[in-house]
Amino acid sequence: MKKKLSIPTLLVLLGTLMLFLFPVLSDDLYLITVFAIALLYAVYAASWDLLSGFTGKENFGHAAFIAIGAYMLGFISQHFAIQPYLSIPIAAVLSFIFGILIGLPTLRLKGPYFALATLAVATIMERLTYSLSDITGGEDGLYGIEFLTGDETSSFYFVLIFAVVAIYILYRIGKSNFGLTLKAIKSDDDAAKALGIYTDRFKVLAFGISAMFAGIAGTISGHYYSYVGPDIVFPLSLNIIIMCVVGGLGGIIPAALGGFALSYLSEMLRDFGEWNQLIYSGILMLTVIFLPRGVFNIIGDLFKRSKDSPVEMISKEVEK
Amino acid sequence: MGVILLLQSLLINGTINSSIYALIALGFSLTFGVAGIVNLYHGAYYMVAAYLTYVLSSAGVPLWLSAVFALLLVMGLGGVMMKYPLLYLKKKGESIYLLIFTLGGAYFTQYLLKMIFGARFYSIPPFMDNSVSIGSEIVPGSRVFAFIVSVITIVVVMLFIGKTSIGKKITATSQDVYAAELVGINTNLIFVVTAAISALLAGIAGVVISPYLSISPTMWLSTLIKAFAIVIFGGLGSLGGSIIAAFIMGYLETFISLTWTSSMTEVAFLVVVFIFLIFKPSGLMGKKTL
Repeated sequence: MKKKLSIPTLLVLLGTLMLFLFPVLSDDLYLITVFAIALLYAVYAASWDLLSGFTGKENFGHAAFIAIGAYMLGFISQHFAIQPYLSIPIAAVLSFIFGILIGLPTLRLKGPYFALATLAVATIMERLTYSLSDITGGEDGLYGIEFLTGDETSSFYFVLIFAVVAIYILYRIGKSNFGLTLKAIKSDDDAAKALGIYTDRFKVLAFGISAMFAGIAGTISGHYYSYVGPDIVFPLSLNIIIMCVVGGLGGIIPAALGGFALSYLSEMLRDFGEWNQLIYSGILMLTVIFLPRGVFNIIGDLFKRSKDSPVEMISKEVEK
Repeated sequence: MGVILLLQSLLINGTINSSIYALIALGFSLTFGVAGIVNLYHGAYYMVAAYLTYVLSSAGVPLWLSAVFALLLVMGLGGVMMKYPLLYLKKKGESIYLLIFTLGGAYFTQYLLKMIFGARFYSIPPFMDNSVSIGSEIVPGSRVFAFIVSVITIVVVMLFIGKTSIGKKITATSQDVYAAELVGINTNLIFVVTAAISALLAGIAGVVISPYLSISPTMWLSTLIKAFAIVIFGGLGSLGGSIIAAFIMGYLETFISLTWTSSMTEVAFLVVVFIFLIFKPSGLMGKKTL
């Protein structure tokens, strides 16, 4: 029997369809660019959620993985013009390995210790970016990277297809036994161990997968902007956390929606200049206090609840 | 640079830097030890105190008085932060929300100050004009003043916690919140008092360094990272461990900036702590095992 689609799923699918149709219906290149960047943010947020939302380990240095993908691309591009079909697999492998390498020693750590360790990794990388300016371009960053594709519309489709595939894979991982195991580890590490789960393996693997998607998205953003620099990589650590918390943790899709919505919002707030960041961090604080489960998780629940609401049950009875 | 001169410079500057770090780390450790909250807003207290002193003193209030007002305001801010949002979030039990809320709050403060004051650097006049010569090294008065104030503050706070009745209540709460409530201690009040003391310690550090380091909207972040690193290095919640760790890291940092480059001090700092976290996550003197 085919499973009936729930209303939130339907809405998400409808939204995705609209994005696919958007360049056909409109030739607003500005909005197309905004959407493409927002889609990259959605992937960043979804990949953060797989590690931190599922296992409850707050990664304060997600930018480190994005930086691995982006700077690998920037570095190679200085020597020869690397195309996306080559750079994406390299980024995937490299950032996966980097994720495992960081994950192995740090995942024994809990709460604040883990937060500091990841913050330290990202901060060390940021400082190294500035001091090793021969390789990284320092504050100016690296230019001259091959564009994703020839024109803006096809670049948008490239990013869109990548984002849909990546988020879908992450979502399936989250729904699979693997994701459920991660949630079990979050609720009680010792109990999970007692059930015979090698919790460390699962956590390290989650770290690797999370890093891999972040690294690939980092590479694609490098291709998209044709530029890699500290200003577009390192502030991401915090922004991603904001997006995931506002969207909702532990379900991939709410976090991805949070990434997309807030990225779009911050673009719309650009006219406010310096107010932009202020509003942004203000939203974060208010969300944590008033809607700690996340905006999109709560919207999803509203639909669920209405399915069982008495009015609807009665109306179903009447139909019979 | 001769070895003796290097050692002398290391000893003097290292001790001054370390004492400031100890002051900041002590407050951070206190909040964690007593309330179990990792307050990433701690660096912002340091920054807010410096800005308030600058604003008041440039408005014509005498420097000493403006520093005192600034510190009182920061104490109040610390207490209010703890009383409303932090205790509310703590009751919900998810540490991630506390970390995110306090970090978000710190960024909020940064952007707010940047909007009001711009990205410019400010500084306030020194509290002590005359410089002091120790050996062949001439140390500016403001740095000597910073050292003296921080040592006195640390001693006073340690005595306050060890000897007074409020201090004993703080210790009792840090050992067991539930048991402390059973013997009639208003633990929520103790949390608020502790947060105010923590904010005061960070604020004092912010005020005494601002004559010789610049005041800017981003000054909180590296301070926070250093305090966080020191406290974890020393063992979360252990006050003595934080002070020892602050001195180790202060000397290390000064050594690197004297012999190599000052831009890499933070990296060295974090690498040491990162390695330490991997091999001994409970820190130098932490009792809690992970």
